Amino acid sequence: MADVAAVRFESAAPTRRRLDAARVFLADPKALLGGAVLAVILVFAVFGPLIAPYGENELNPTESLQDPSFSHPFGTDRLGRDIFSRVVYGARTSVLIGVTAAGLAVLFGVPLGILAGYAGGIVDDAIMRFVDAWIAFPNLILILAIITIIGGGVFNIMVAIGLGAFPLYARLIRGQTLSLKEEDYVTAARALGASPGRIMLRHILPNGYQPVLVQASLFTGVAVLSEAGLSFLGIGVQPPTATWGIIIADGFQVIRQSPWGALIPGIPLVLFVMSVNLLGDRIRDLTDPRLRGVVRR
Amino acid sequence: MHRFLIRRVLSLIPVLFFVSALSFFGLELVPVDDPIELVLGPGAEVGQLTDEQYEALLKQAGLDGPITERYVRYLGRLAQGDLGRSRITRQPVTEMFKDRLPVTLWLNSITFVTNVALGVGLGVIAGLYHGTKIDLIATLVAVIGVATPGFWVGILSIIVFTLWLGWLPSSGWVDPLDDFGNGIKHLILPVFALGVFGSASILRQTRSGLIEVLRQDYVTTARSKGLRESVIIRRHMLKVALLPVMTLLGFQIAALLSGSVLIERIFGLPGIGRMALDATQNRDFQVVQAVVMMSALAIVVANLIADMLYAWLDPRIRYS
Repeated sequence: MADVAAVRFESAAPTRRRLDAARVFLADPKALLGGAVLAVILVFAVFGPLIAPYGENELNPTESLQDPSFSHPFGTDRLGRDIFSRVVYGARTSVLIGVTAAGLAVLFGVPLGILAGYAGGIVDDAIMRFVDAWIAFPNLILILAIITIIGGGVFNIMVAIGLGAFPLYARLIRGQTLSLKEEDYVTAARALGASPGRIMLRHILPNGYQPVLVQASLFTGVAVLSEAGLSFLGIGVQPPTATWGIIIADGFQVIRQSPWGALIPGIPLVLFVMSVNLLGDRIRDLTDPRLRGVVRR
Repeated sequence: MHRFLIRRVLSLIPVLFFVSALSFFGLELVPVDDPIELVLGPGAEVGQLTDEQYEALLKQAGLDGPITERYVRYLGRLAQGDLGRSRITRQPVTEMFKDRLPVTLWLNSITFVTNVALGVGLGVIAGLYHGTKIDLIATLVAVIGVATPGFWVGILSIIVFTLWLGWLPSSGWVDPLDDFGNGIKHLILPVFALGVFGSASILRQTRSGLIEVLRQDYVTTARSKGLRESVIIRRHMLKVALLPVMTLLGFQIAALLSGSVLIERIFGLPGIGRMALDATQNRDFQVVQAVVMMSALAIVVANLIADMLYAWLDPRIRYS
């Protein structure tokens, strides 16, 4: 009987944990606001073509540089394109680039970090000195240098942003690996003859990836900002593709005639980053052991 | 303190070696058919050169000989302050730096000082009055500040202060040493745009540091001894609350240098950031390499200063 109860308890636990997590988020109005704003932006990113009243590059030269009106809520750009539609289409590209760049940063950083932590000694020293030196470069200048080497274009921009941030993840997972490799199950796997590669992949990675995921989701905001900055400078995504950075750059060229194109696309950009930060603050408060008991759950 | 300082300076040597190696080998990674393309540009017509010209150009750019030899020569040139030549303007990069450095230095140093003054000042007020409306407003401003890209703040400020109000110029550079008033007038909007993120992040850090310190026993003890509140804040709270801010300083310099690229573009300032951007667009490899190396050097020195300040504020660090 006791066994049956134990089984029932175990099977109920994950669901309850999920419910707890949801309740914990709802308890913080700032995180709730962040989540709601993020959800709206993601809906725009996913269903953009259904929501936008005009096409991404639907030209209408007779209606160029119009102020916001009923038919063009955010006004039009110098080619008469509807800015609202471009902002909606831009959400998809901007968010996609942000998420992919964050994923690439994890992809570059995690293997290096696990290797450094697991191998220790001279391998650890060499990798971590490399990582320290990499961090010494100012991020945007480093990204410019990477683009100078590999060239521009959407994919290369994502790679450059990812490469600019990978040391963060290498450090994070290295710290995890250092403590995980002392665990009994790792010793057991080693005693059973598992190869270092298998131990890193099957035992350390699945147990140490959570803080990396949290950090990576936070980095999405930074990556979207980086993309906007690079596209604004003209070395990121190239026109006529709409990203928030490109729409701002387009608007900046004609800022003296009409400020709307430069002004409005910045608002979803700020809202996206702010909502990711607000959610991230809450996650950090909840997962930081030093704040346990202090944070309202 | 002396031993700490010597140890810390010595620890810079491997980092500087790695930084120099990264910027040197980065250039080696550029996919070219012929190294002369690094001097003449991608797709250069190599056939038009005589062998002597070809060799001379490679030699002048330090691209002849095996890679290890070239790296050693590169270090030697760096030690003498020779950063190579721009393949576009044919100017020595060191000279280009000399022309542009004052612009970036003025912009970054004024921004840095205002960031620290505003961030720490408002952070202390928000921390001391935490839970009140003042704190709420300060926190809200900080949350918006850290999420707002500097280049967009720059655009907003141009719309408001140049186009609507007509108070301040939106572009151009006047050296404050030549005409102080006019020079500063041209720097107000760029400093504001570049500084919003930094001030907001220092504000957040100072506020949370101070709130943590407010709860400490030694602050209660100081109060029960009857010390004046201003003395408690200055001597017991600020010193401890500012420790985490110190670690942000190196990061701040890095963020300012990165931000300069965008801000100098928006406000038409002929600084290092603008030079880096132009060099990237023209694939002017030597210039990009030099900017990368010099900015890394600036960050390394900034981190060293931050560590020294940290050690000065917290005796535990220098004896550990």
